[in-house]
Amino acid sequence: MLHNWLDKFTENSTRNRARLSSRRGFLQKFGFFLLGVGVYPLMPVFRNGAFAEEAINIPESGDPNDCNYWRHCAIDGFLCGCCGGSVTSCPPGTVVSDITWIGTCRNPEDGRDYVISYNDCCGKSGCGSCGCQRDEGDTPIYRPQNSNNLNWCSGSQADVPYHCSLSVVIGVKE
Amino acid sequence: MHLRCIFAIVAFMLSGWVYATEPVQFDYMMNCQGCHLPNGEGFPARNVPKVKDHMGKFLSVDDGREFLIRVPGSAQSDLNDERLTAVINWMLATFSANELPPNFQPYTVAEVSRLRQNPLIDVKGAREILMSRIEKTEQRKQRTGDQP
Repeated sequence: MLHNWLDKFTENSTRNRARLSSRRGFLQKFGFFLLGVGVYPLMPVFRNGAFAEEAINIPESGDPNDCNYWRHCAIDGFLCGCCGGSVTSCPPGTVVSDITWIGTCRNPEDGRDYVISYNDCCGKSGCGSCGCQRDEGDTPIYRPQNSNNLNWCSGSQADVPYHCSLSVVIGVKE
Repeated sequence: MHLRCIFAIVAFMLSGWVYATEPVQFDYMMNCQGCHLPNGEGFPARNVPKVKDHMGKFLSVDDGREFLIRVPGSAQSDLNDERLTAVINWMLATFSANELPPNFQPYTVAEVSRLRQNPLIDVKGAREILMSRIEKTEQRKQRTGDQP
């Protein structure tokens, strides 16, 4: 009895499906879906907050993904450029910690001191690539405003998980 | 002629010229901005007080003027008295000009120097007292403002 009912249902639905769809229709649709999944991240999506503001026309030299790059003079962490982001933008899946610490680095190209904001990118566990610790002008933790040993992600929307650090130019010393 | 002027200005803006940050804003960046943020918004959810559209309200209540200099961020900053005075006055003018009382006088160096000798210990408690005073003042203002 039960088998009879189940057999009928299966037969009907299979015949229906066969009548309504072409033989390769599913493959075609699934192919489009796969293609869409691949293309979607390439879309010019507006990622608000992922990019920090940057002064224009800074004379540049060196590789931003190298620890010796001039902007990293007081950094302690992983360089976001090696983690899917850049020196000024967080990798996908992380949020920038607005609360941060700020120092200066001398640009070897023009000899001026630039104000650098060392924002952390938060929300994923440590990136693990391009660890960089230079600590120039870093203060002990009892002067926290200029200490790079703090996890500044604790002041972000994403809370504690630290992923990598940015070096954003926000000003120029006179 | 006008066009030429505009072209000259645009060319100047596009040239490799890097502006220097104002010294007082530089001091704000280096000593305050990390937590209070570029526009003074702060992060109240994580106990970083809001400065924007707020800081000047303290000047309308008793002990508020002293409070702004006695908080740890001011009193214990690396800035000397002159530069701290300049930054505080700059912050008031930049972030909270609309909240300043009509009889507002900028801080003087001597005043800041004296006040920061006496830093607050119970900052949170002092802040709560001042916030309730501010609230009362605002309610009073609203009531008198509503009357024709």
